[in-house]
Amino acid sequence: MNQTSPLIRIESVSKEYEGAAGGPGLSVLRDIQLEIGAGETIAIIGPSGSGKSTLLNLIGGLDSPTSGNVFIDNEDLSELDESQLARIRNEKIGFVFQDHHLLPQCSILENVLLPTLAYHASAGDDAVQRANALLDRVGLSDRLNHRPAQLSGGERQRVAYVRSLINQPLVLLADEPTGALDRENAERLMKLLVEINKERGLTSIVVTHALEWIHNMDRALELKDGILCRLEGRN
Amino acid sequence: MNRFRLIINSLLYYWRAHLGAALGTLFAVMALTGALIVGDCVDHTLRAVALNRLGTTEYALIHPSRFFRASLADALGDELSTTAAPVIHTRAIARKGDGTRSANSVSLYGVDSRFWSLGWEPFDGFPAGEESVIINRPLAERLSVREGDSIVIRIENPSVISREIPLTTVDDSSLAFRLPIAKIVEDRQMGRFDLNANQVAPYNAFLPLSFLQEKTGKTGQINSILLKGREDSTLTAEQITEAMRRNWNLDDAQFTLQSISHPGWYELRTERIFFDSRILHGLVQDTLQNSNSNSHMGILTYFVNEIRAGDHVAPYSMVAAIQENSVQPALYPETLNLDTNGIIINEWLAEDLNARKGDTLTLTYNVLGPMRKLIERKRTFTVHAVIPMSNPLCDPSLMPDFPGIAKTEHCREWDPGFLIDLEKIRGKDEAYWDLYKGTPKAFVSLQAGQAMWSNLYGDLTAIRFHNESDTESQIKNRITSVLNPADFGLLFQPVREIALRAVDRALNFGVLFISLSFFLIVSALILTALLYIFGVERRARQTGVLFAVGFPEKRIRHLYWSEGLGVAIVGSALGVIAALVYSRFMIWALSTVWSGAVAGMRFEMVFSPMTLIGSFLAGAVISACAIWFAVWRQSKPSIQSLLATHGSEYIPVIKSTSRGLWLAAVAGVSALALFLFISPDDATAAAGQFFGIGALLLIAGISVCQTYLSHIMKEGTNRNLTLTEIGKRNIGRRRGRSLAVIGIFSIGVFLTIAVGANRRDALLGADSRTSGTGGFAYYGETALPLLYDLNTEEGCNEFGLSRSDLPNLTVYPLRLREGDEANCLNLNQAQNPRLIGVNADRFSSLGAFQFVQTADGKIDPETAWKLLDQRLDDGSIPAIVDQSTAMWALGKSIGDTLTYTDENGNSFQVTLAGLLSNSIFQGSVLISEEHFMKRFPSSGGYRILLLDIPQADRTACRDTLLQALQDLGLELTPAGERLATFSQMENTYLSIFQILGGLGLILGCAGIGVVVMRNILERRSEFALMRAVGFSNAAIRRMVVTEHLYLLFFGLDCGVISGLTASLPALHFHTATYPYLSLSLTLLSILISGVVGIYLATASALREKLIQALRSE
Repeated sequence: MNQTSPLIRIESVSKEYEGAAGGPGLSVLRDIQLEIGAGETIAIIGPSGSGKSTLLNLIGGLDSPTSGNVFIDNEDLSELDESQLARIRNEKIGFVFQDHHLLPQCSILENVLLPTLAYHASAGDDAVQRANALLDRVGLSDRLNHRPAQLSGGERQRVAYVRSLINQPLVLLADEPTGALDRENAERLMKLLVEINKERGLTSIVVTHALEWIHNMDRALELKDGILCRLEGRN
Repeated sequence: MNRFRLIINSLLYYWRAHLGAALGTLFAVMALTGALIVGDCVDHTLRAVALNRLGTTEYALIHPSRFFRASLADALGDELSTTAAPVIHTRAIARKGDGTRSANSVSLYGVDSRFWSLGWEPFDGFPAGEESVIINRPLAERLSVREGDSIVIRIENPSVISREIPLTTVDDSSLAFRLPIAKIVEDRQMGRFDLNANQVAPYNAFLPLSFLQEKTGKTGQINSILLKGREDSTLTAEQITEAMRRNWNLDDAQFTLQSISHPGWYELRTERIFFDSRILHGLVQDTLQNSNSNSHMGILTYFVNEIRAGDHVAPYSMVAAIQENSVQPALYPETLNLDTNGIIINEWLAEDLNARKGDTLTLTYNVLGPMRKLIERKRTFTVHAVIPMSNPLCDPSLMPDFPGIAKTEHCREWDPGFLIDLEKIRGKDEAYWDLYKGTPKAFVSLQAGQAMWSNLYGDLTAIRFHNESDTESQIKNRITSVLNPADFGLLFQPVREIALRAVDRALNFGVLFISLSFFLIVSALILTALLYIFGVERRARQTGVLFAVGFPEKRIRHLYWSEGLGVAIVGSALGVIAALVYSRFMIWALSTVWSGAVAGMRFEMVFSPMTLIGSFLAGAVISACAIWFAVWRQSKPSIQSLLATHGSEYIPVIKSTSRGLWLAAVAGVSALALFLFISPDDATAAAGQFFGIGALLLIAGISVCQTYLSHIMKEGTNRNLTLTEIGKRNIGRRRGRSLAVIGIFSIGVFLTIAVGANRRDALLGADSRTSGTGGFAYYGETALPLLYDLNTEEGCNEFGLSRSDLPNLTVYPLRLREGDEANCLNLNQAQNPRLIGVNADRFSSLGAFQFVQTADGKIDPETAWKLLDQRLDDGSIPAIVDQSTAMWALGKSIGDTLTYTDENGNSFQVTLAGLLSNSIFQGSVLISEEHFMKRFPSSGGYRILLLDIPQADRTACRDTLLQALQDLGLELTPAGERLATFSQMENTYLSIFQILGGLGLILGCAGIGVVVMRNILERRSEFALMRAVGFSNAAIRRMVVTEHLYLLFFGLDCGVISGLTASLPALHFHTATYPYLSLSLTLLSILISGVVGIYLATASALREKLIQALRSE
């Protein structure tokens, strides 16, 4: 990692969706400029449909901007093909979604190890050790062989969080990770997320409605009408 | 954790979703394996039949018209250290003792114990002491007789001279015996013995060899030898040929060598009266020149009706054509300078005719015509010399052994086999006979004699040559060493090899049934792919996660495909097990309701483990390919849409609609190009081309549908919004599924029309000259040959009939050389198809039958039949065969050749010059009668009769003929019925295709039902919303049914248009028999089953309370 340059750089990124049958397009993001340093944690808030998830998807290489460029660790995502993007997602980025998206056919441990299989036929011993340690860290060491259906919503989301960390990414992208959880579980997850990210020096971008957690982030940004700005009124 | 584990976990977790796909695979593999098992059963049965019909016989020499010493078999057996069974084979008719039942095509064998030792199972043969007959099981069943019952057997009495030569008598042409049945012999005991490759068991009867030899006057003679194969398979054709050459002698060639009254002179003559002068040339070249003399001559002595000089006539005399080719010594020096117009007469004749040197004489003689007809000719000569009766030329031994003449004491005892007027014989003629016997009265040059009297049977009656240096025995040895037994048709055929080749090259029923199951297999595979992909689509969010955590697209597809491979393997394994039951059903059906497809053959349920393993692997691979294709075809949605998908509903973005149009354009242009290249004179090629055009139009149609679906998806329909319009738009949402539905229906309809159009009703239009019957009323075959022309009063008289008994009957007789039936009723591949000799002029003048292709492109019957009379540059013989025979049984086309061996052991080529459309001649190769007789002059008579009778006289004529010709074993079949027998097999295949296609259609309907249910389940929230805003369930149901009916109609349109295009040739050629009604009913049933399937699936899926779905959203 280059210490002098930001880990994530977003340059003049806009995103528009085509209108139906030649009608006017829908502009979701407009001329976004953003730089995020290594280990920096950022919260993004905004009303529904403001483009938060779109921005996260652009950073994560799940989508491509209509114009502008996204750099991760000095690599311009627009220059990469599908397979290179997949490798970036696998090695440098971890995702946590509002829904846990665990594979019901796999055990908790297997779900956590899933990303390690993208480029290897089987999970290595070190990956298994990491998975065990992380699951222990989130309090699920006794549920390793359970199936997702046997876990509570909060527990599943914690597994999803651990899954995002298994390949030791540089960046964690969390899209309303507590959106489907009750308050208690939401607090527990966010606490873990903040603590572990700090411990690991992980660059984190969290899209959230939970304003109470914003103060635990290095920066908080707000998306309004497709424009990203610093959140006003933040302590 | 590893990828394999992930795949196994997924397989187990989603087993319900995979079950449907596995069932689809099961059906495909079941159909595939079942077809291959049927193929195994047919192959096994044919092989068993082939081995049973030959026993352990490996080589066989069978010559229907040439007899040789039985001791030759002993000698061959000894020298070759194997069993050599001597046999007399002839055709026969068998009747039950009380005359109530009969079999007309019986093979009769005179055998001894060596024959039975060739069987796979021991058989005791004939009981000692009693004259009896042994028959095989099929003949016993046909006659409804058992051991101890008596039967009457009438056989064709073998004759060394063709019975068709009027010089022979016909009184003894058949013999009849009433004998008790000693035993009934089973198949494996040689009961099924047959050299022709056919799965249908022959009717066989067996008599003791010595009994048959005695009754036919062939003591010590046989016409067949069967050689048993050695256990170590070391018996070779070369060994047999060598052994034959070492052991045969002049008797086996039916030659006799005798010294004549002049010292040092010998004569070679044959029991067959005539022989080919080429033998003389061979002997002169190779043998006689090695002696100290080359004095030799060919002799052709003939019976003339009269010799006339002015008013003086000498009746019924022998005239010899003779010309010595002498250096030293000369036997008949008078003949050396005889020109072709000169004639030498003996003193007696000169006196009788009051003729002298320089006078003109006219010879009146008969030449041999067909059906024992004699054609009278005349030729004038100038007397070259008058020789005294003491001249060596006045030699009674110059007369050949004409039956009915040579051995008579008096002229009035002559019975030459043709009508002579004994009243013309004068006292001095009797006196001449008493004194000089058959001494020729006149002598012409050999060239002149051969110009007058050469015939199909030869152009010499004797060869005389001079040899003082060798003994008679040495000369005989020299002659037999020069002559080749094969030149006399004494040739061993590798019958086992031929039989196994006929099985090896037989129609592959496995492949045939795979073809017939094509639609079933395709439907099952489409269903497999559809159901599997539904399962994958349900896991859209999982796919999204895999993308999100960095799995490359290729790896994700690989994971899903690997899972699909597991489904394919399980489905295939289950399919193979199901196939064991399914194939049993197929075998049962082939033995009962579909027996027409296999000519009534019964099969054992036999299969090879390799068939199961092979079809399991093939099924797994094909199914995995279908799944791979389905996974590969999945348009990749955006990852975020996958992750956002609740359930599996995501709608792919249609970027371009032009690809389908391009494909449609390419297919359409290709179809047009193919149309422009259609050859109007080649109906076979045209049928294939039209099928190709239909298939291309089908592709074009489906591609247009694809474009339309894309257009709907992208642009909408630009119409007022109604429920129907919403339904129409919905079909574009899932383009792949919609296309699958259209594809299944259109392919089903296309195949139904294109294949079903070929169903034929042979009886429709059967009276037309250009139909497959040629317009003939009856097709008849006799066991024993017909020697007389039934179109004449004389011919009818021979059977105790008058022409008035057969009003308006015209008989078209055809010659037959037995061989393999090369038609669909023979499951083996014909190795030696039977030959029919036809009078091309008569068919030509009738304009009978219909040609589909000829070598010169002219398919008008009047000109096409004349192709048979052509002389081809390569020396081959032009032939006409039925198109089905050429295509399916022989695998030949116009210009291809077949190799035959004539009765003298010479091989000759037959070139296909014309193809008949679906005719009663299926199974045979037609050549001109002239060519036929040149190759098989001893065949003697006609065995196929085509009867032309007006409708009103048919029954009476048939009954009269059957009664009169019963001793010939005449069987008459209405020509239309014979044609229908062939069509029945084709129609049965079409029925099988339609039934299997029906199963495919059921699967297709099941697939459509699944698509409908899947579409509804994915859109439950949408329907719930519609319910919430006030739409009734019925309205929603109507909308869903409507949208799927669009797919059904698109499929029907594509299928009907392309199917009708493909069947245009059938429409053109078989307008009268085009199955409009059955096809319409089939299409209607397809439509109804589709509509019902859609309705039931819709009703079932919408039964759930939709509002709950809205809540769950």
